[in-house]
Amino acid sequence: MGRVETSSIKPPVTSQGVLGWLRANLFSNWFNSLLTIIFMVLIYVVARSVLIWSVQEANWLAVVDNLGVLTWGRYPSTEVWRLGLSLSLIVVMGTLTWILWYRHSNPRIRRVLMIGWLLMPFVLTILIRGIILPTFRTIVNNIGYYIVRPDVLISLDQTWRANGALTLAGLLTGASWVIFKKLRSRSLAIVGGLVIIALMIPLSTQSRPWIFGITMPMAIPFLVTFSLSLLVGRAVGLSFVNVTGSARVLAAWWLLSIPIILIVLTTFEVGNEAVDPVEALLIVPPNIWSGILLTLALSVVSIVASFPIGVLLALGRRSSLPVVKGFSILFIELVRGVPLITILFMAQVMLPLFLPLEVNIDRVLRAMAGMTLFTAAYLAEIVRGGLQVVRNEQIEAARALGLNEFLVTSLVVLPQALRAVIPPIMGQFVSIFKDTSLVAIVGLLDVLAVSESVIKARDYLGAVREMYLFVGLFYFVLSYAMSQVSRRLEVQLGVVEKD
Amino acid sequence: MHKMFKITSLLIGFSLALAACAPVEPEIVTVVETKEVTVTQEVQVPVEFQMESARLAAIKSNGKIRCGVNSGVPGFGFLDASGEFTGFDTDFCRALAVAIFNDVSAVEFRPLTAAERFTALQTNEIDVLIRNTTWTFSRDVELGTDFGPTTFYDGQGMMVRTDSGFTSLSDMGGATVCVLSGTTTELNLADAFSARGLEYEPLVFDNSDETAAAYDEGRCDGLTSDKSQLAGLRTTMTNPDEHVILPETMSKEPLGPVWAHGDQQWGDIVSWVVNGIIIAEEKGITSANVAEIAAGTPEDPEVARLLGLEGSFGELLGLAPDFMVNVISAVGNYGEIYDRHLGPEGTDIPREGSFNALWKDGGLLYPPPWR
Repeated sequence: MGRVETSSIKPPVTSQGVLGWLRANLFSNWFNSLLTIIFMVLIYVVARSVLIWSVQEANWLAVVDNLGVLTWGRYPSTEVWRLGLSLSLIVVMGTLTWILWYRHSNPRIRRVLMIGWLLMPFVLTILIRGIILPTFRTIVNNIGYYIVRPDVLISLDQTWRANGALTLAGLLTGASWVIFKKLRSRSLAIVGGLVIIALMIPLSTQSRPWIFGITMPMAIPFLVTFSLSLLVGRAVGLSFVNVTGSARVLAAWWLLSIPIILIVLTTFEVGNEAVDPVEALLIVPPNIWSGILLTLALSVVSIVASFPIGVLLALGRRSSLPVVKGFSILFIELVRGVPLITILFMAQVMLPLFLPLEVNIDRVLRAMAGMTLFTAAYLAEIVRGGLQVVRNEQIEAARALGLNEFLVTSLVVLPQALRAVIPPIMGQFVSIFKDTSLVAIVGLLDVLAVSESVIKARDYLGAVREMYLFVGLFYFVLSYAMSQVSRRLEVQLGVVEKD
Repeated sequence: MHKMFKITSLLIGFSLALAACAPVEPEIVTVVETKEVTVTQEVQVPVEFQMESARLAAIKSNGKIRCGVNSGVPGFGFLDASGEFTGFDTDFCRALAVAIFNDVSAVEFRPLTAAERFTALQTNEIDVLIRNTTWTFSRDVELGTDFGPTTFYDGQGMMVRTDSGFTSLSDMGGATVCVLSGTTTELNLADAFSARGLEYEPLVFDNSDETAAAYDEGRCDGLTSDKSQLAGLRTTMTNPDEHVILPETMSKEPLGPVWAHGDQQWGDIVSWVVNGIIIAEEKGITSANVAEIAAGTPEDPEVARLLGLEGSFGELLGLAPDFMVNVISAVGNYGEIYDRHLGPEGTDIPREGSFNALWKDGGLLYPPPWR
């Protein structure tokens, strides 16, 4: 009787192939089978009507015909190539970084890439916004005004240029005084600062009404500007005084600053076409940016600008200096205490009421500032969470090595803190990217507002669903890409184990 | 490093040289002279009541007129496929740009929401607001704004299905009406029905597209909104011919240009450009024949005055004598603007017999004489 009754054992249920998968996952028992059938019917009904709608009823022409205006909005059609160029620049830089950064850890290649990325914001701003450049005649003519007819500068309301140039010159002179060791280089730098001051002497004797209607000679604000920037320049110089190569970097800054000062000083119009500066790239003010361009500009600016502010606020909140700490807490709690839409309304509707009538800040810049401050406050709290992860022993060990507070924070604390909070930071970035659609409520034409506007044309009236689907797809694709980047970063920085 | 300093010193020396040679440049002298000429021109003006409007001067130096518009009303203001603002309201902005600069593109459109449109005027962000804004007492008196001549007489109407048998509001006792929540539309509807002693059932939505979709699906018997909007919504229905807009008007909504208090001459310019556009239709002057009429000697003295052939009306406003010729040839007369955006080619709001017909045809458009 020890014979096993083989015929009575059923063959094992197949767990392989399509059938096996279906059985294991969809029809494992009667309840799951019922659910599966109900949901299949539901999916069929919905999918069928969506398919019928999208093939037979939907007016996809509304999206196709308006792809251009959805993408670059009111950007002048003759200048759209600048947007294409900007995009290709980003793609090329991104690809280069992707390929070169991890394959070759050659520091020189990395440095070139870093400088490239640091220059990107300026290049992109100039490309997209446009630029006015002085011609040689403009430079000669307009500098003449500083010497011979400073009263014209005042009547044209261009005296801020003098302050700008003095600030730059003061910073550089202050830094040169402590960094340059050779007497010759030092005196050369001083001469550079003196040239700017000499240029401003005729203007200094002029008076103009200042704040609260008090009239005073321009020399007073000039003196304040120059001495303040001199002090700041000296402080910055002192912190780099022992860094090798800093003298060479400073010399490069001097070289770079000469064209900058000339541009700042001379790009004003006097109403004489022969000598007025020319628009090298047609100015397209942010006010008329719209469509996907505006959505991307708003999110990129608020992401890039809010990051350093957020880190500073987080450090400030943990600072032992009462004023810094108090300010950081006040700012963070105030901003986090109100919804983003309130901040946007304040910036668009309330702020102009408080400002003097002559001051008109660009509407898009106001929205950018509002979103940046909002994101910075949230980032600050995320980064603070990261800072608390770094254990005290680490800081003590770094101090024991003789590092100063700045180096302890930047070399030991921040890298560990930021690495720990990459997922929530990226989450915040994705969220602010989607929140840019709120600006539609305050009258800015982001991609959502443009999509709602173009379907008011007779041929596309009523194509609401098509447009919303398109905009939804746009937001999904970019948000998903951002979360993928975040996952990659986590893996590469070793936050999570590779799977 | 040594080389660096050589270059630096060279450049510094160069800028010194620049500064040194600057004063002898002849351009400077020319520029200063031009400025002085403008000053004398201002002083020379002899006519007693002509003074340069501060706003007009600012617009001229800006090179553009800043015009607050709506970006989402069919027929009145929206973006077309090339990214340009199009519509009935935006054409009046263009007319002003032509009047001042004789350049149809010298206008900077600022899309504004209902909430911020008056703030934008008060804070000098725009020069004129042409954004389907209803002229009311409190807006005119309290908000520090002034209203120009009405460009479009709007009013709340009711759309029903042709097969419903409703021919007037009085037939609609017990009907269900789709309406946008929280607007004066909702209040006007209640007033209109209670004045007729009728009951009705409101079906309230908070988005105009949703409201129209609900009506289209047959969830209510009537759809109420401003008549200008109803016409646009009618074309979005599955079958537009099955719907009709009832003749009754439940509210008065005179829409027109608005500007900030305090610059009378700027207000005069806006008002008389609008008036001129309406007079042009009255006199049969169109964009097609205006050049011809202006070249000849029109028999009608008012036409001669309008086109700057007689009198000095342009100068009195601080504009070119023939500014109306430019305006009419660039944007057309009132009828042409209306047909382009609101006529059968556009959102199809019937004009004949409505308030927006000329006074000669029984409408309310009655521009003051150009003399």
